[in-house]
Amino acid sequence: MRVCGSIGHAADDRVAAMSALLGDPPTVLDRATAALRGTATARWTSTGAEAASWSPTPLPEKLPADARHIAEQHDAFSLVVPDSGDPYLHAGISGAAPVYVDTAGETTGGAPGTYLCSHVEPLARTRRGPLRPDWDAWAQVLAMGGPLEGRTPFAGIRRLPPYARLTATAGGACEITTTGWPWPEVTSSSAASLDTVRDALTASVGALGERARFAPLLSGGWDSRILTALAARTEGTGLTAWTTSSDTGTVLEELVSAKVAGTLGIEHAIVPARRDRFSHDLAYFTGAVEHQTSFHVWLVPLATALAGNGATVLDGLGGGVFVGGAFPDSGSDLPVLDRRFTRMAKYLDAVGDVLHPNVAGQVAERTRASFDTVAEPLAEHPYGNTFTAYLTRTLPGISLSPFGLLSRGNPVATPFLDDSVVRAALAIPHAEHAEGALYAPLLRPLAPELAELPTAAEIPQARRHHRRRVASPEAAERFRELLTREPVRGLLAPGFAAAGTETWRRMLGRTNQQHLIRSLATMSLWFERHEDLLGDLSPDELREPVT
Amino acid sequence: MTMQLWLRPAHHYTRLRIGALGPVPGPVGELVDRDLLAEHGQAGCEADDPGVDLVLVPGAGGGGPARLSGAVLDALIRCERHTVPTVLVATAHTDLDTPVAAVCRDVAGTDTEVLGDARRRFGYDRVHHLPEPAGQGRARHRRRYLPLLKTLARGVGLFTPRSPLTSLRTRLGLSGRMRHRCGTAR
Repeated sequence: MRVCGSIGHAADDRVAAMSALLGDPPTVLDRATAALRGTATARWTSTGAEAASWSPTPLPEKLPADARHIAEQHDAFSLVVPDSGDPYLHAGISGAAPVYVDTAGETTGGAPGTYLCSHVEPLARTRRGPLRPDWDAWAQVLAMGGPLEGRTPFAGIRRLPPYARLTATAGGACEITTTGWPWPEVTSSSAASLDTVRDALTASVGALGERARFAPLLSGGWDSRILTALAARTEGTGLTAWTTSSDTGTVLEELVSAKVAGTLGIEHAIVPARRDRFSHDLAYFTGAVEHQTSFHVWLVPLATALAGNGATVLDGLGGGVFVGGAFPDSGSDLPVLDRRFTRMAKYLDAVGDVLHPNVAGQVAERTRASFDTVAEPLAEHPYGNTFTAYLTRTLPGISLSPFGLLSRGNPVATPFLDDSVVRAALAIPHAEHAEGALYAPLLRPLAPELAELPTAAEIPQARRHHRRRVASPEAAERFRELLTREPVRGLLAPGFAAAGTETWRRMLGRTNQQHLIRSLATMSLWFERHEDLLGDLSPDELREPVT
Repeated sequence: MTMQLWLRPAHHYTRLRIGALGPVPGPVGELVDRDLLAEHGQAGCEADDPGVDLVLVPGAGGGGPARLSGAVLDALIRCERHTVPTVLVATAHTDLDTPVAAVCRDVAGTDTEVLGDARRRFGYDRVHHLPEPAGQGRARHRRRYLPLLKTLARGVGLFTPRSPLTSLRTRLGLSGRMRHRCGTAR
């Protein structure tokens, strides 16, 4: 999906320049106060308004003539241009598929306009004003895996939050409103039934199946198992489930997924990672997610194997948080925000091994400030831990695997983020979600055998003994080469740059240290790609001592 | 040190208990103690002891399993649960393409070209060249296969090579056991 446009009295030439960078997608809307060019779009009209919607998930031919309904029913974006009144852009309800806006504005003929794009880079490359890194965003990529509050690596270019509305007012200004997101308003009840969740999931996958062919991703966990079982029911024969190694030192994921596929009677393809492609895969991933996260580099072999086959990838995004009870609050005596921050920013535990002490302080401080802005209003919410995880981890980082990497080559669907599924799941009291207790009963009526089959995580294993590609000598050399370049070199802990390959491999064998190294490599590749835009830059701000 | 912490009961190369998923071609096949796919392949194994220290997986071209299903899948899950290394014995390039190959820990073989291909895919540290058995002797005499056993066992990390210092101490009779025998242990 490639989309760009403008809202308000913007300059056509910048939209044309962004469009050229996206491969010249067709013009969808061309009005004085709004323009849109893109693929995977659907035009619609309502009384007194012209509009277009888009989504990485295939849309039905007929859409409801209301942007809010489209956001809720299809998780799609809509650009609406009323005959009278202000044009506006309405974001999808989940916020998982990104749309970025350049909030720094640009004066053209005295009237500011706001530019929007499905990708960060066209906005950055066509901005006429100065461009600089958002160091807060980079601190958060390091500490949490993705930039918070809609930040991107470029200051002033922001990702729209879930259900946001961007309106161009008559005065020329653009306003973003984020109120009215329905999900936190859902109230739970002891009368709520898991059947409603199952029915909503079945309906969501069934409706998609009427207009798409599926390629379910299948790991050793529950979410992908449920979606694959539903896809098998919908599509019948000819379905292939796709698996790759998550490079965690075990092959139980592949073995359990083979068992699941065999039980369902569907084809199963395992796409192994190649050791000699590590550098390629790292660069491919960071480019696809536009250097905002480094979570799922291991998914690249699968994404490239699927790319262009036309099937809609089924991804389990959101299942863990909204159904599986992931990221529960710990039981310590610390204030709830401290406990949630410690959990979500666990990578900070390793900063002493990888980062310069001043950088470590800056990263912690800049991350905590943004985290509190997001998490504080949710502190007392019954699903506070869930929404905090969703807004500080799922959306900023994890979502870019389906809606950045996989969507580069295929349509993508994430049925666990369907509005009716999320509402049904949130209606079930919070405690009932604990430790994934809902999964087996959710799956049992659909596939009784699979409900009893342990997941990869549930099978006890003496030790993870497979050699990890990310900690291989080849990967360690590549990481060292990327991290010891300026300006990233200046962020490293004293002595780390000069350490031997075995030290680097040892660090890469540890979760938190590896995350920091991957994130710094992402930063290094970002500097390399945008050297022409950023010039000779030094991350001095991140090296200043925290006062 | 960490490698030695998970050493299985076999404390010498010649005592390694080697399993297989079907008949393994070549001299390495003569080392196999039990075929895990045979009718009684799992007989005598305890719940906490998989009964083997290492499992050889013949490549599909050599008559080995290609698909992850049935008894093959169950045996591989059992191996993975108990951290038993699985070694694909590859004789052809196509042996490297199967789902079974994708879940093996290491690759071993004798064909230089196939091993070169395997190294590009799996990495140098996961691919091992199997030497020919040394000298003459009965097949079941494992000492004849010592170089081969060492390659396999060290390759998958079951035994770590002695450091030069340890080797020197042994040669000079300064190992702990030797000191104890001589009554010079502290």
